[in-house]
Amino acid sequence: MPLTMAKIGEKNSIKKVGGKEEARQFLETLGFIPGTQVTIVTRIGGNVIVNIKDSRVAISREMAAEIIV
Amino acid sequence: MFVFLAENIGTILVGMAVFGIVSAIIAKMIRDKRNGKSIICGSDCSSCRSNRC
Amino acid sequence: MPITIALAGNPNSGKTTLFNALTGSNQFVGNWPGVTVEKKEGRLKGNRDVIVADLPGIYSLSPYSLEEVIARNYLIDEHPDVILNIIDGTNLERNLFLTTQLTELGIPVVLAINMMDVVKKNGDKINTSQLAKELGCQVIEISALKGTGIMEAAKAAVDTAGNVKTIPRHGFSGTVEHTLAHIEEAALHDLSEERRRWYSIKLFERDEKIIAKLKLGQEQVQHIEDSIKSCETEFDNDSESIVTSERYAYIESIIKGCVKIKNKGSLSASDKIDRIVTNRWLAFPIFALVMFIVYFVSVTTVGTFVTDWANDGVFGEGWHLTGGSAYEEAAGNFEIERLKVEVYLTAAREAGLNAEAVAETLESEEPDEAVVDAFIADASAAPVAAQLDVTDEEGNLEETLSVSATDFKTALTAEEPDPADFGVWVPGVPVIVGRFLEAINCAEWLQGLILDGIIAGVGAVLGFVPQMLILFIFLAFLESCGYMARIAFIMDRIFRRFGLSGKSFIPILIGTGCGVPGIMASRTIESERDRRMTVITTTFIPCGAKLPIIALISGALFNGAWWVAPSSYFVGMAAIVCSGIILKKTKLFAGDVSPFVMELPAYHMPTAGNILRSMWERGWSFIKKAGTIILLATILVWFTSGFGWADGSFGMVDMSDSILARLGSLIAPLFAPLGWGNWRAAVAAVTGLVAKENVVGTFGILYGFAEVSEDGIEVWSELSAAFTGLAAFSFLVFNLLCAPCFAAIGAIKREMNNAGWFFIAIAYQCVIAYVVSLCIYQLGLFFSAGNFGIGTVAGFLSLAGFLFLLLRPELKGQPLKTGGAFGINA
Repeated sequence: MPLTMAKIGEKNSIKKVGGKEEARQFLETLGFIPGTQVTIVTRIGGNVIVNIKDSRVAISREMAAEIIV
Repeated sequence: MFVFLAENIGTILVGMAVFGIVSAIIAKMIRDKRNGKSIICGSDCSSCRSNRC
Repeated sequence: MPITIALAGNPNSGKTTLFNALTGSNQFVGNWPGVTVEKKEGRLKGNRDVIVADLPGIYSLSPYSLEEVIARNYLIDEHPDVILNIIDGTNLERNLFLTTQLTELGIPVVLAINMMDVVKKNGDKINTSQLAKELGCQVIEISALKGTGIMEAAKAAVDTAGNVKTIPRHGFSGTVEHTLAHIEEAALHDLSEERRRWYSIKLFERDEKIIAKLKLGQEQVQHIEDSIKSCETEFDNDSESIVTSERYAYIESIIKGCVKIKNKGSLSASDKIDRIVTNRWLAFPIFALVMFIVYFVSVTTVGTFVTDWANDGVFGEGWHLTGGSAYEEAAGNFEIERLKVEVYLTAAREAGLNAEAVAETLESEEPDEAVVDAFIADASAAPVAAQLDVTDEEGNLEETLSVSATDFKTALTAEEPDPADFGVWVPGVPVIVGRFLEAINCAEWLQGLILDGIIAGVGAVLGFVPQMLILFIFLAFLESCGYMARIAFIMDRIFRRFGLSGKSFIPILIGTGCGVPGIMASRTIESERDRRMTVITTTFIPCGAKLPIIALISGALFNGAWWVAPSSYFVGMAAIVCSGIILKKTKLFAGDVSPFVMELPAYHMPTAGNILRSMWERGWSFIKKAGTIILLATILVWFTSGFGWADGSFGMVDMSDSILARLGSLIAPLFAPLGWGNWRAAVAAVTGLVAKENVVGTFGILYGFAEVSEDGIEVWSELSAAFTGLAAFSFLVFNLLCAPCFAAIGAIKREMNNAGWFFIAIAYQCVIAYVVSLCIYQLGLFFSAGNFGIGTVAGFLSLAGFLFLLLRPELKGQPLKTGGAFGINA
C-alpha cells in the first residue's frame, strides 16, 4: 500500500519508490530504498512526517503516495 | 576675514563635522558598491544573520 | 604551506556551529536548510596557516542541486588537503551516505561525530574505533554546541592533511565492480589513481556534468553506456539506484557492529511535540498564536514600555535614572493643585462672579497680586466652593476633594516640580545637543539641520530599537529551536490545495528578518513559475525594517491597541496566500504542484548566548543602517522640507511652502482615496522605497519629533492628529504590501533576470497594496460611518474583483490534485 495509507506509528518496510525522477532520487539519497524501515510520525491532510533511519523527513502527499510499503 | 572666522567658529566646526560624517558615509557606500555589497545595509547577505531561518 | 580543511556534512548536522567554533567568526546557526550558497572560509583558531572552508550542507554529491554541485566542484577542483566530515550522531546511517562518497574522492577524510551529548543522553552507544576501522578514517567525537572535542578534531584533520591517504573500504557487488573497472579502462586512464574511483562511479551513474567535464567522446560515452545497460538489466534497476542501494546496504552492515540504539523506533520528544504542533486541527491555531505572541509582545507590551523610554526620554526631554517615582508623585500632586485652581475658577463663574480678570492675570508671566487678592476676597465672601474629582488613569474615581477659597490661594503657590531635582535626571539627546549648539553659537540653520533634521529623523527610527531587539530575540528563538521548518510543512497543506508547494514558503520565513535573502532563497524552488511567484510575494511578510512603521502606527496612532501589530503579520500572510491562489489561477503561473520533501531537524533548546548574539548582530546592523543611509535621507528631507521659493527667492520657508511640500502635493491626490492624501504621508511612503525605516524617519522630521515643548505634550502628537484610525491602518497596510526597499527591488530584478517579469512583480505589489488599502479605507468608512461616494463604489468593485480572482475555478487542463499511480486523494 502507499505510505499515505499506513497507520501512524506502525513500522513498515519500503517495497518500491516511484514518482518523478528528481524527487525519487532525492528520497533515495535520504535512505528511502526498498527494504528500509519507515514509520509515520504524524500525518496532516495526506502530507506525512516519517521516521527513517533515525531522521525525520516531511513528505508531501503526492510523493508519499508513490512510496509503496 | 578673521573676524568672520572667530564669530562663526562654532558653526564652522559643527558644519565641518557634519560634512565629514556625510562624506564618510557616502565614501563607504561607494566602497560597498564596488565590492558588490548592498549600499543600503553594507552587507553582502552571506554574512548577515538575517539570512538564516 | 597553508593547509586547507574542507568542512563537509549534511544540513542540520551542526556544521556551521563547528565552523564558528573552529574559526571564531561571528556567524550563527539557524536550524534550516537555508540557502547560503556562498563559500565561507576562515582561519583555524590558534593556527593561522590552516584555512577552513565551510561547504554547503549536502546529503550527497549528485549533480542535481546547486549546493551539491558547488561542494563537489570545490572538492575535485580545489582539492583541499583534508576533508573534515561532520556527522550527526543521532542519525548516523543517513549521514554516512555522504561519507562513503567523500572517501572515494582521493582526499584524506577525518570524521567528526557531532551531537555526542545528545547521543549520550539518549543512552545510545557508538563504537568509534570500530567505526574508524570499518571506514578507514579517523573518527573523533565532538559536541559543537557544548564545545567539546573540537580542537581534537581540528588537530586530527591537520595531522591527516597530506600525510595519510583514506582508502575507501566499501565495495560494490561483483557485477558493478566489473562495470566500474570497465569504465575506468575506457575513459579514466588519464586520471591519477586515487581519483579514478569517484569518477568511475559518477560515470556509472550517468552524471552529465562529469561526462561534460571529462570531455568524453561520443564513442567512449556509447561504450560506457553499453556496460551500464547490461548491469542495469541484471539488477532490474537504474544505475543510480543500484549505487545508492548498495551504499546503504554497506552502511547498514557496519552500523550493526558499531552502533547500539537504545530506543529504536520509539517516539522521541521531538516527535511528541510534532504530533501536537502539526496536528491537523491544532497546527494553524498554534502557529497563529505563536506569531501573535511574537508581535504582540515585541511591539505592544514589553516593547512599548522600552520604546516609550526611548522616544519620550532619550530622544525627548529626558529620563530618570533614579528618582523617577518620586518625581511622578510630585508631578501628580502639582497636577492636582493646578486642577483645583481650574475647578475653583469654574465654580466661581457658575456662582456669578467675574473670573475673567483673575484668569487672565494668572495666565500672564507676572500675575497681578491685587487682582488675585480681590478675587479671593469676593470668592470667600460669596462663598464659592468647588469639588474636584480625582480620577486615576482609567478614569475611575479615586477621591473627591473640596476646594475652598483658602485652598485656591494655596494652590496658586504650587510650583511645578523640576525633574532635574529628583534623583539622577538624564536630559534627552535633543536637549543636550541643543544646549551645546546654543553654547557654541552655532548658526540657526545648522542647528535646524542637526536638531530638526538628523536628530528628529534618526532619533525617531532609533526610538524603536528596543522593540526591534525584542522581535529579534523571538525570531532567533524560533529559528534555532527548529519550529520554522515545521511551519513550511504546515503551510504546505494550504498551499498544496491551490497548486503551490510548501517549499515556496521557506523564502517567506527568511523574509521575516530581511527580504533580500528571502528573495534569494527562492533559488531552491525548481519550478520556474513557482519560483517567480515566490519572488513576487516574499516581501509581503513584514521584514525587520518595517517594524518601526508597525510600532509607530500601533503606538502613536492606535494607542497601543493589542491587535494592530499582529495584524500586520497576518495581513502579510493573507496577501501571500491570496496572491498564491490568484496567480496560480492565471495562465502565467498555472502548473503542476512540485513535491515537497524536507528533513526536519529535531527540536532543541537554543542557548541563550546564541540567541543574544543573533539579536545583537541584527540590532547592530539596524543601528548602522540608521546612522548611514537613513541619516543621509533625513538630511535630504530636512533640506527639501525647510527650503523653497517664497516671494521669488530661494531660502528657508515654512514647511508647507517647501520644495518637498510642493512635490508631495503633486502626488498626494493619488492617495486620497486611501484616506491619506496629504503630502507628508505621500512623501513618507516614497522615502520608504530607499529603506522602509525612512517612513518613520521622514515622519519624524515632517511632524516635528524631538521638539521639546514646555507642556510636555506627547511626542508624535502632531502625527496622531493628522490620521484617522482608518486612514492610519490603510497607510500601514499600504506600506507593508507595496514595493519593498531598493535593496530588495534590486534582488527581485536579479532573481527575475528579465525586465518583463521584474515589471510584473513590482506592479503587482503596488497594485495589491493600493487596492487593499482602498478597500480598507473606503469600505471601512462605509460600514462605520455610512459614507457613500464614488470611493465606496470603487472599494466594492475592487473587493468584488478580488473575490472573483480568488474564487474562480482553476484553469481547465491543469491538474491540481495529482494522485500518482493509485489516484489517491488523501
